Amino acid sequence: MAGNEAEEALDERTAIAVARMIGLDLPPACLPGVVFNMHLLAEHAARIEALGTAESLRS
Amino acid sequence: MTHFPPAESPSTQASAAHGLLDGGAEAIASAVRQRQVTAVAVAEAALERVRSRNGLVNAVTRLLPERALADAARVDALLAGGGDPGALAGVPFAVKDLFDVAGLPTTAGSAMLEDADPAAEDALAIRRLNAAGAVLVGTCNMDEFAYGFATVNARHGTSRNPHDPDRLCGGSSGGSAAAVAAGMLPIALGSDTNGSIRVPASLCGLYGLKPTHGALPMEGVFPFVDSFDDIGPFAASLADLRLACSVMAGGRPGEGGAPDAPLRVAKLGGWFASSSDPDALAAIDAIGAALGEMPEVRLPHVDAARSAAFLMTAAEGGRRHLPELRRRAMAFDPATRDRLIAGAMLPVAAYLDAQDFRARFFAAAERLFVDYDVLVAPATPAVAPLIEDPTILIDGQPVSARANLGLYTQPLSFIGLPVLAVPIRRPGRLPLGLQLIGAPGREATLFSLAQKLDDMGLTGASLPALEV
Repeated sequence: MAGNEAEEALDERTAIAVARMIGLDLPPACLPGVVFNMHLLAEHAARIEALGTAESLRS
Repeated sequence: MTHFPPAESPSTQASAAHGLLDGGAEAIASAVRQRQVTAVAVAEAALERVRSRNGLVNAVTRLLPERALADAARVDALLAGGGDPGALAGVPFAVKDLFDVAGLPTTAGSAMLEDADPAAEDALAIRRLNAAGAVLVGTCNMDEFAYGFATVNARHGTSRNPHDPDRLCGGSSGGSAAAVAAGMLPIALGSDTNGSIRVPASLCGLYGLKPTHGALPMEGVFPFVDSFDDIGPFAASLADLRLACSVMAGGRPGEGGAPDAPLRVAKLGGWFASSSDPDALAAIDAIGAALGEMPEVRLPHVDAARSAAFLMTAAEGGRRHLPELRRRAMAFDPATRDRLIAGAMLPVAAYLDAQDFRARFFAAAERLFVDYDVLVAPATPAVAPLIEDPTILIDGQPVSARANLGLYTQPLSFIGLPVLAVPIRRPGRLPLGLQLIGAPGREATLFSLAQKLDDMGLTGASLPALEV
């Protein structure tokens, strides 16, 4: 299995597992869209995390 | 696409009332109160306008002729008995598909909810408008569950921009905006979580208010993101918008006095000046020149603010819909479903980080309002995109319009600020709007500046001349 395919398979397994944790059986048709959006949200979360939480923001 | 068959024989009075529809809410209420025209005639004219124009723009999803004519008859009866029906006597209006309307299921734009139990009573905002004499005529198209900036709806189809039906009207309150811009009705209500009033107002060339969070009543409104959902009106004139806001607020917020001293106005730079349509930036510069002084100020880390808005939206929206996602995920519009599922799966730490950031971002914005009364920024990065090619250019790159039309609106509603969307005056060209941003509770200050810009000829709506 090529690297990208392995990563995609891992992402899909992760999505299925996390969905199960919240009581959701992820329909296969949702997988590509859900994985795409998980990545998108992870990028947004990383942007905020990178700023830290203690300091105030300066204009 | 929703088509409504034409009325069999519109009355002579209704035909005569058509001209009043183009005059706006204040003119209608004045004529009705002076008994120059009946409220029933105005309602018939509005119903006929919807029937003749909705095929062009697909704005209205449910037409309510029996209710509208009964409500209008009550206004006429009150007047005949010497009573005062209120400031909006006989003014027809419509609401986004997420407002409770007594006797109808509240669908929030979803086919899944078409068989839901009918609402027991109208949303509070509708009740207040009715109590002031306004007449509900119909409900309007939206993105499913208000999750989008396009008004592309799997059940009802895409709402089209009255200025160019090949283009999007923006969303998620696009049906409400298109109904007003198409001259069907002088006032329509929408909701705004990340820009869902300001984006369609900009693309359809209208005024729209996203009030201070919580200033207008959410009772009876299908929720999306409790932390920053708000409702507000669209109108083609500032006077009509102010009137609707005042009635919806119960005569409270937004009607306080604006400061007597000259307004201190600044333009938002940085994020808000990048990627914008050059015409919007030129319009802001023209405002600066007209006012004499308008320095540039910046909010810090606006990119992170937008990210935090994305995260909180996805998490709260996902959590709200999780029970139905568990039960019947495939019944959702796919464009909505996958984002809600990903949001429901978001780690709580990411949501809490976003909340924490929001508090610090709000504090930074508050500091700007120590020195300035109003901040000015573009409302959308571009004019209405083509429906067949729904992309806009950001930093020279084509990106999805559906995801990026809220580039400039998300970071502001996310901290609950009041924002008045105003149309740049540019007749004959596709509309483009600006945001006038104030400190919480300062809607009156925003209306004061907007009136000044109108008086200077810098802003103003230009509705398309539709043949039908």
